[in-house]
Amino acid sequence: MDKFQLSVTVLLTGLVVVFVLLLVLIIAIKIYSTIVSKAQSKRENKKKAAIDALNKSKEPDLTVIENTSDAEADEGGISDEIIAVIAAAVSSMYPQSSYTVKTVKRAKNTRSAWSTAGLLESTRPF
Amino acid sequence: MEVLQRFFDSILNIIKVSGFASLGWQNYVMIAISIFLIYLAIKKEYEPLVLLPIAFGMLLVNLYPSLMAAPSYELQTVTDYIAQHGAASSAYPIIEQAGVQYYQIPSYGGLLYYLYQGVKLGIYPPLIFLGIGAMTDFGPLIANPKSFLLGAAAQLGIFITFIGAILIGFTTKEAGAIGIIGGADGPTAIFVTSKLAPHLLGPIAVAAYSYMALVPIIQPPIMKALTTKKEREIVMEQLRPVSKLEKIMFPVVVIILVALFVPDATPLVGMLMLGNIFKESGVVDRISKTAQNELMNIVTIFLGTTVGATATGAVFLTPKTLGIIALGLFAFACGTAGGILFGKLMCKFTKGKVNPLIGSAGVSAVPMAARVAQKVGQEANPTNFLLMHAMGPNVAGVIGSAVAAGVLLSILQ
Repeated sequence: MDKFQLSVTVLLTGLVVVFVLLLVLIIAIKIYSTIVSKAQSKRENKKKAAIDALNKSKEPDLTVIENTSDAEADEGGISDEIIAVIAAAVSSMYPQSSYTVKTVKRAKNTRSAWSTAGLLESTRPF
Repeated sequence: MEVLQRFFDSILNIIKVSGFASLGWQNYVMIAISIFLIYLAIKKEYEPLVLLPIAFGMLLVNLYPSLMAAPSYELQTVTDYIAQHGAASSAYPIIEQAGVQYYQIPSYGGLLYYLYQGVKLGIYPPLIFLGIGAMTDFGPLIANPKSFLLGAAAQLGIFITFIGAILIGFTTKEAGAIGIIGGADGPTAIFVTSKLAPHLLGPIAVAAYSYMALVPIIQPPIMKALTTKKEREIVMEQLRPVSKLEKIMFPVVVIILVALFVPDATPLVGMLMLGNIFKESGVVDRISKTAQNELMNIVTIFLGTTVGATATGAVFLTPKTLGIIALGLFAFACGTAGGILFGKLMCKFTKGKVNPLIGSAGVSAVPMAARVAQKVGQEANPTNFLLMHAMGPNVAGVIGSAVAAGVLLSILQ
């Protein structure tokens, strides 16, 4: 093969192979992106539906009992802000579960708040 | 008196083996060139991470050429050896030629010769690609896969330059190695050259890295000449967010397809994708950090120094070097033009949704070429941010030039 022929061969083969391969990659990426996004949106929809259904069915799903006085105190004595903070704390402890704060009670003080925090910190990995 | 005589003999001996007696004029010219390159690397910061080791390797080998000397054997007859040393040796193998027995006494190669094996055997460039993969976010490319087309179009420079080099009188293998400069990817250029034309490694590496450093000067005039102000002002839609799963799947899908279609591109693309899966998986953070920092830095030192050490006076100071430097510039210009022209085509087809400037980033030279696209775009429209859009073709260009390298190797090797 003379040099001219080889040059044209390399030019054509090179450009065609590079373009075709990258086109194949485009198609492959488009296909898997669509599959992944569909699967993820399906999963998200399912989650949403489950949460909605849970919220609609019975109001009190999970009764949250938190540290407060021995006498049962209704929320009337606690400001909304404190209730929001308690709800946020519960949410950070149990991120997976869905719940509704129904009552807030003071639990018996068996362990100080600091030692509870330390215990949780050291047992979290398990 | 005898002591004085010995003293003079020793001094004479030292002078005889010193560089003053053994170096030729070419070595001195190369020393001057290497000092100039050191200046460019430090003062002008032209790709200093690579240019500085290259320039210093060049300086070292021209001061002491034996640093790159290959190991060799000296033959000495067994009788002579015994006469000299008073006893036979069991350390050297004996060979027999024409009925005479000889000791095969080895002399070891120079330090850089051994380090150079990583270049010669094609080990360092894929390792550099491993680090690049661990540093690269392919998100913009996954969000807009059409960018791949721009990365392909910008490889035009490689193949056009190949023809140009053949017309000038280079051999086909040399032309292949010169053409790959247009890929604007240092490790790819070194990988291909070490396989096709190792004797041109020095000039090609210097040309490739110098032009990569000069991307902000070379590209803008071509970009402006081939686009209208209206095209440069186009604001592109924001890219969609890419999920982690898509990013993890990307390296696996790419390497399966590339390795099946163009097996010769596997060492480069394979390591690129390995580095990327280290990064995206998020479970091997230590390995990912090592690949992009320690390993990459170590390999860069070895690669740069030994590639520079191939540039001895006899190899570098030839008309071929001038040809390579001219063709390298031509390759860069053609690659940029190819990307821009294809960008214009995409602009037409998408009814003005693609800014053609991002096509210029398809030449690789990550992330410099993308930054240039951003800068030129912002000159035309100060509220325009093309950087992330240009990163798509930019990283596609890395894959594209590795694939083009595979094609060249499969045809020419």
